[in-house]
Amino acid sequence: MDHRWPAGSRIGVGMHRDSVTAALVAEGSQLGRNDLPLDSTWQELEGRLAIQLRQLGSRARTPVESVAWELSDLLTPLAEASPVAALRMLPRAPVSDALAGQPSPLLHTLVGHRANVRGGHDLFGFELAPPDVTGAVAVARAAAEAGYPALAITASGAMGCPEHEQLAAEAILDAVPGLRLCLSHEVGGLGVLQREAAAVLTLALQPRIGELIGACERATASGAPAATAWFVAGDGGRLSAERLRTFPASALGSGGAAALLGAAVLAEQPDASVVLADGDSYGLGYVRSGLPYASSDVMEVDRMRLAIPQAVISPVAVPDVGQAGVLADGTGPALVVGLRSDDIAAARSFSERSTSETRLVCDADVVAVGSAVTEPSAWLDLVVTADNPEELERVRGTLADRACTLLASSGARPGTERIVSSTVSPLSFLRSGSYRVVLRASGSIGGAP
Amino acid sequence: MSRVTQLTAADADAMLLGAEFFGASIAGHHLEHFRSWLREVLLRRGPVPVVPPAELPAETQCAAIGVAGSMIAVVELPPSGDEPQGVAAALENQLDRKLGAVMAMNAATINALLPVIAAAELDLPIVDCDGMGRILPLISQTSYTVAGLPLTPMTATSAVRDQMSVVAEAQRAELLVRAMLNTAGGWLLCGLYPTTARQLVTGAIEGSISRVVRVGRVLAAARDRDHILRGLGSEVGATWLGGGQVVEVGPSGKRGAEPNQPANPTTVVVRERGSSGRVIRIEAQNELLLAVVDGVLVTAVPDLICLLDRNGLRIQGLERTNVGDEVDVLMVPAAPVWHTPAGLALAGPQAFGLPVRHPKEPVE
Repeated sequence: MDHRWPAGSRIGVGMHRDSVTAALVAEGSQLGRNDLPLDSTWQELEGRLAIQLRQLGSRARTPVESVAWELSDLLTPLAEASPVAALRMLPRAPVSDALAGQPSPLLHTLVGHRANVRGGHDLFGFELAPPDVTGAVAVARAAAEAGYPALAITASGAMGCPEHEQLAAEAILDAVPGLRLCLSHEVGGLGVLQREAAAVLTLALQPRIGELIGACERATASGAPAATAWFVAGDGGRLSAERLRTFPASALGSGGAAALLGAAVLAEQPDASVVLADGDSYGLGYVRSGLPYASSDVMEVDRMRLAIPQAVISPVAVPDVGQAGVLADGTGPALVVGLRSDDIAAARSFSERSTSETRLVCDADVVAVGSAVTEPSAWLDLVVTADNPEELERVRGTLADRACTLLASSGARPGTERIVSSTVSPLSFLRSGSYRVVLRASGSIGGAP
Repeated sequence: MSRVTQLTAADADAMLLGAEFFGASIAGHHLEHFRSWLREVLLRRGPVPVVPPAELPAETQCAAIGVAGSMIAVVELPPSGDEPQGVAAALENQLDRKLGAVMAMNAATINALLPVIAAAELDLPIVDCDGMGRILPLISQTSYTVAGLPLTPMTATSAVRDQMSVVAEAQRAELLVRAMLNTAGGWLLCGLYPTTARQLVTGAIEGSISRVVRVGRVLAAARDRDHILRGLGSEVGATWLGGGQVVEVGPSGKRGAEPNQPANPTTVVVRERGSSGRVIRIEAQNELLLAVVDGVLVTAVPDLICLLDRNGLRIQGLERTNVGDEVDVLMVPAAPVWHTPAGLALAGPQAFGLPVRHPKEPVE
């Protein structure tokens, strides 16, 4: 139990659909909280948010070092995001309609214009077909002429070798300046459809997130002048405004991740299992050493799995006798919380009916509290080859350095970077020595945690 | 057990879930686009008859359709959609004979779906059988091989539309396919084991397609873990070996890589909660090969070992298993052919380099 929550004064803000809750947290304790209804224009709201931050900051013993905004509720419904165009670079174009598009109706809707050109590599970065850059430019021109301001480019094998995506992007930007692009290797992960889905959502959400981020930054600058505005990510990490503007899909699901953390903070349990009551359903997640248990590719949007890290929150039924074994994490009682204030009754009901030992946490907005204690994070999810254990360790070390560099560029204070999880899975039915490596790094914005 | 007589678009969900169950070691790859593809083909082409081998005319020309290679490679490099009929047509050319029915090499994961797509596109029935009843790592580890049926002539096609033909003995064909996989993008769709319906009556594991659908229906209807465990028990004789938290996933320190097997050995350790606190150690290499409970071997390949994610209520593959996961460990007995001396020689523990006897193997 030697985990220490961040020492500096921080504010977390949970932006719910109809209300905004802000919490001041320092050294794992909530020092203040206030709420606002979300019932006015953004221009009016900015001023009221600034006042809210100023009031909270006046209760802090030290200047507020950061304000972390949790925006995921405001990114939905995703169907209202702006449609974009999509380009796949594959050795052969799909001939089946079912394989040409996305299986998810939502993503199908968000891709207004779609085309394929030749190109692509295998998992290990070997070229399977030369890139049709001319064709890619023609697709981009057609997309722009059809009124689509953004194009997602996804090449097979781009995580092994991003060259085809980059060549296409360079040529497209020369020919169609102003077209917004997202290259799938920038969002990362394995699977052409999964990366394409993440790239499409990234582009589709950019216009909406840009407005939200601007409002949050202005409110922060006005209400907490010494603080920096940050944004909560779906894995329970935090992102800079610049990074979220570029990769807005990273914030999907961030409310659940922040709630897990908030419950752990309020219960003073840096290792805990947490049941989240959310409307008429319940989810179970875990916090370990002060971080939500997360995975690089569990995010599902409309039954499509995305290559975007997210806290793992599994559905759990209303408790019965058979549920007892599921809740216990072996590290103490399961915490039960409501995701929003109107979910607290459901949380209480769960706790009362559970046959496992549970502890109800209902005296605060867990999303706002959890947002305050988030820290920057970075992930790598790659396929590598290594002929022997020594080579695998070398590769792993190189990737760990890369993850820490990514983390530093995400705003972690130098010297605080650490690898919090590193999994190496031998890949089935590939040649011996093929591994999937998933690394998660975390750091601190305010000195050694 | 009830028999499925035809497959329609309405069966796509159950097919996918059942196929994932029998592909237990690699379950968890998101295959929504395969579900969409199967549904689209079945809607466009109509239902596919599912026929037991003995109900086909004896001399009906049959062949298996199945992918050799890696699921991650398939996810990274999806098929275009004409490969199943393409590989079947290439095999017909090589045989100089039309196919009268299609069968599965192994009715598990996408290899349960692709033969159905091929059958639909070619307007053929699918034989209610397969050669593994699960996934085994080598294309030669089939009941067809146990029965002496030749693996070749075979044809194969890649995502790049490379076309290959192989005529060789089964073990040579295996090595040639492995070599080709490395430059073909990681997977090949194969047409193989050309044979007749008469040969399948004794050489195939019968009822495999029906079994996939029945298990899929159990999983689709599952409301909770108990419902799944009971359903799998009654449909396929699944036995619960134990369950708890995964406390270790890592390279197996007890054995080297078997040179004829792709990928590397791995150990998964599950510790039960409560007073018993039993430890279940699972040895894996591509497949979950054996389970040892508190030092006692309780089951081994070719029986099927599955990990059921207790929270998500889905079968969880080896590549998606991490320390901290909550799982149930299940065992499904292999088809009887796999418990014969010839079956155990081909796909028993010792075929995977494990120095143990299968619990059902008689002591000499």
